[in-house]
Amino acid sequence: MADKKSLIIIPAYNEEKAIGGVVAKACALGFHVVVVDDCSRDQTGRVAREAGAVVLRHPTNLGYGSGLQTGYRYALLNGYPDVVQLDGDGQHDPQGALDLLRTLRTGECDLVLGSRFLHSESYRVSGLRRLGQNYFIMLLRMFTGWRLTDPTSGFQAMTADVMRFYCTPIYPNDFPDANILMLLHRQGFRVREVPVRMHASQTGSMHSGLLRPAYYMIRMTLSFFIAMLLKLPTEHRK
Amino acid sequence: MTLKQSLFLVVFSFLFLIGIVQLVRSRRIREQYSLLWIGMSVMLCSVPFLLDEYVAIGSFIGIANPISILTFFAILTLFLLALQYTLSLTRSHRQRHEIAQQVALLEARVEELEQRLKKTDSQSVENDHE
Repeated sequence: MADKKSLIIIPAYNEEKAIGGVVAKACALGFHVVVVDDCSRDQTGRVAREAGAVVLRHPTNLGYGSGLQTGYRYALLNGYPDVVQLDGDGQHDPQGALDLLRTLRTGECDLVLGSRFLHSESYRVSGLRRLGQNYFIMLLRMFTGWRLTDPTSGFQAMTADVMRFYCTPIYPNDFPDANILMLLHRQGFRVREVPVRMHASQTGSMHSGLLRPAYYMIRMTLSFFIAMLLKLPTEHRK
Repeated sequence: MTLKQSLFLVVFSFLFLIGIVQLVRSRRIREQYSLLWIGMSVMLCSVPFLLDEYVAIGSFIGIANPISILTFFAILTLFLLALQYTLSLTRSHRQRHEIAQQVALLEARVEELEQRLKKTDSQSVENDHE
């Protein structure tokens, strides 16, 4: 069971089918849960609230990264020393949050990534998606020296220091991915991976088709190299 | 440059300048965004009077024809305007995100306080009955 000061952040957009189950499971494990409803057109907010979550609703659709950032702001405002973030589509098993937090609280790292590829029972991605992931694994290995297996994983745990860093204007609030890992590396944060079980999404993937993943890869590559040049903020340091 | 061309440039840029000033006066354009437009119309207006200087600048950067010099500077100014709008758009984008995030946080806080208030009210009603 999680202790009383453990928060799970779930950014959600049109996830009414899966969000209730995810929130209920996280609450049953003893977590406080905050769902950031990114102006969904369905009943995501209501379902999440009924399942036991605090719901923060954006008045307009701001995107995945902004949803997470709102969650970090909430966590910092309410004094949480660390948080776990996971997706609301049922892909991430809240049970894994306990493993992430346990590793984070050893104090040996600032951010823990949940890796499906280190877990024997996770579903495996195939084809183009795997190719894209290998590409970012290679980029990160080349430029940071980090040997990660699932750098695009949205299942993460982090300290308040990392959250404060994420609440500065440097945060890529459209889609934080390999680019944010590059920024963490430059800022001197320590990252580790732990195995987590992941399921197939219950609501479909945004990376389906051919053009969108290709566009995403080009955009993320540009963002990755820009992250190497960005002026790092200082205001998040205590 | 012929007299006709000079006259057209002066009249056009003068009318353009008046139009911009009117838009600023009626607050339909913010002053900060009007600066480049005003600069552009002043530059256009000054061309017939400072033609030799423009030709000198043009030949310095390798443009011989006065009209081409004018076109070059007009395009340059448009690039600057586009850059200014991109900067402004980026700033507005960030501000919009921050405001929306604050609204979400405040709404949740208001909801929490309302629930607390309701609880306190019902408790005090119960106490009154006792």
